[in-house]
Amino acid sequence: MPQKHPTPLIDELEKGAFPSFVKEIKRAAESSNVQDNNYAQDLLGQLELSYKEKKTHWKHGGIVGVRGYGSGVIGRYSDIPDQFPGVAHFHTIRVNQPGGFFYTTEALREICDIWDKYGSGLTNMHGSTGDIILLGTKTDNLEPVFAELSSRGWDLGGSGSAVRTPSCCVGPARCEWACYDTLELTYQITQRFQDELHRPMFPYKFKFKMAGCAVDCIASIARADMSIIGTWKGNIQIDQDEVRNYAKNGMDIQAEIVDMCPTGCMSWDGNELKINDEDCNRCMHCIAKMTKALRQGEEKGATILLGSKAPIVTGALMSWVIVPFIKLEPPYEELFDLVERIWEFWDEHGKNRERVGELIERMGFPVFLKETGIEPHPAMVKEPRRDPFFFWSEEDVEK
Amino acid sequence: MDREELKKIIYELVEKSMGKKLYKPGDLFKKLEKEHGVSKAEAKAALRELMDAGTLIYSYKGGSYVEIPPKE
Ligand code: HEM
Ligand code: HEM
Ligand code: SF4
Ligand code: SF4
Repeated sequence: MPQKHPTPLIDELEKGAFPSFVKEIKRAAESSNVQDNNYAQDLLGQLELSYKEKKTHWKHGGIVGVRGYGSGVIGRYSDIPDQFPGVAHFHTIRVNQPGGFFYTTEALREICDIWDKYGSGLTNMHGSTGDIILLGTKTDNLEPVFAELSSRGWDLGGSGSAVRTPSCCVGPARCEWACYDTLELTYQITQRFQDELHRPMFPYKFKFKMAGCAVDCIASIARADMSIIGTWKGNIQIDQDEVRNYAKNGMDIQAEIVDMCPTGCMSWDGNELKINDEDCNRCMHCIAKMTKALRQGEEKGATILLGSKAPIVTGALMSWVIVPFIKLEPPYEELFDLVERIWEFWDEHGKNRERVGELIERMGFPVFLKETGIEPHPAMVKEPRRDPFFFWSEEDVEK
Repeated sequence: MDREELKKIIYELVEKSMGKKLYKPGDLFKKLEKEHGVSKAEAKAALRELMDAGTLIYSYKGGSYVEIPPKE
């Protein structure tokens, strides 16, 4: 189908070196694979108008899921449906992605074919929640598309005041630095908390993100209510011959490694690299730079952090440590038990739209620790060089 | 409490809230526990049956709420 609406303004966005969403929408508008090209056709028209008027024409609407589900669908409507009937409804569906974002080409074709049949043909692989985002369909298509997706083993993801679709780095599937099996844990969390994922019952959203080490390829530290980040105990394993090889091949070990160690716990005399492991905070810098020479310590596990969020209006909040080290092996009961205690605390005291991190800031860390039964620990730092959580209650003080 | 009776109580609570201050699922669970001594697990199971039957629906208004589906 040739383009229905002229789009001189947004055509500008096709220029330049970067991929262009305008180009992709045009492809969906013209593709003979997409059953209903009117979504993308009228999307172009409405978008052009928005650029001209500097004003959005989307409005929110009640739809949030399919029968029995309270999340997974984000409802949107055009506020000028007479002018752009193709986008009178333009709902987005979140589909739970596989852990680590691994697909067979067959699975990708299947998702795309389903969406060509029921929706605009436009996708976002992936949203920053991690979900597969299927953009634009109408209310009448929601149940049929869900039936088809679920008959092939797909499920919807989270939205609203629910557990959001857990996501993780590629972990041990591709990366030797994974200190625990991020894929397995993500799968088990998803299964365990199905109810909390599909049936919103919290004060607000709750995100889990699993990273296998402090390189944190899933950006868990800055945008998950619970960040689970791999770490180790014991000494970094050093192959001194390989260190010398790096030096011989031109690496300035003093400047690139030792001087950049955030805790200043390394030294290099031109022949031997020394690490004072007691002071190392397992930031991964040196290991990531000298992959052949350095390996993590042998006892592996994870640190659990709580409370980050990336809001638009106020500033970002980072996660802080609540469990310095935990062994993470199936069946993960210790972790699940902790999660449930944290949710109970949040349920009890959380105000509407208050994330768990904000609640802890409001009520204070001591109250949080007391009510969840978590032992205070010196490693509970909130941010570098600040440990505000030393406190004494009346009965601790000898008078 | 009998499941059907509990479902009726939940439905009536939601019905009365329509057009006023809506309930979040958590608010409902707290109220049922306080006023009827119903455990959270029981309340959750009952709400789930109401949702699965389409008798009640979730809505999103900056947070997730429970409502009666609009009549078409
Ligand atoms: C049809 C209309 C729209 C729908 C259905 C929609 C839906 C969504 C969804 C589902 C996400 C989350 C993606 C994820 O899972 O990470 C999202 C994120 C976002 N949306 Fe929209 N949206 C719409 C229009 C808009 C408009 C017009 C704006 C701003 C002008 C906007 C701004 C944003 C921003 C800033 C984010 C967060 C970005 C991110 O997390 O990557 N949205 N939207
Ligand atoms: C004032 C301007 C902007 C605001 C308020 C904004 C806001 C946001 C927010 C809230 C997120 C979601 C973070 C999360 O929870 O994961 C996000 C993600 C993102 N933004 Fe922006 N953004 C802005 C400008 C930009 C610009 C100029 C670019 C690109 C040149 C950009 C590219 C991205 C990308 C790629 C992501 C996804 C990151 C991820 O998946 O981890 N943003 N933005
Ligand atoms: S976060 Fe660490 S373990 Fe995971 S992929 Fe990145 S480097 Fe590897
Ligand atoms: S992991 Fe980080 S803190 Fe530890 S020795 Fe290497 S650079 Fe220093």
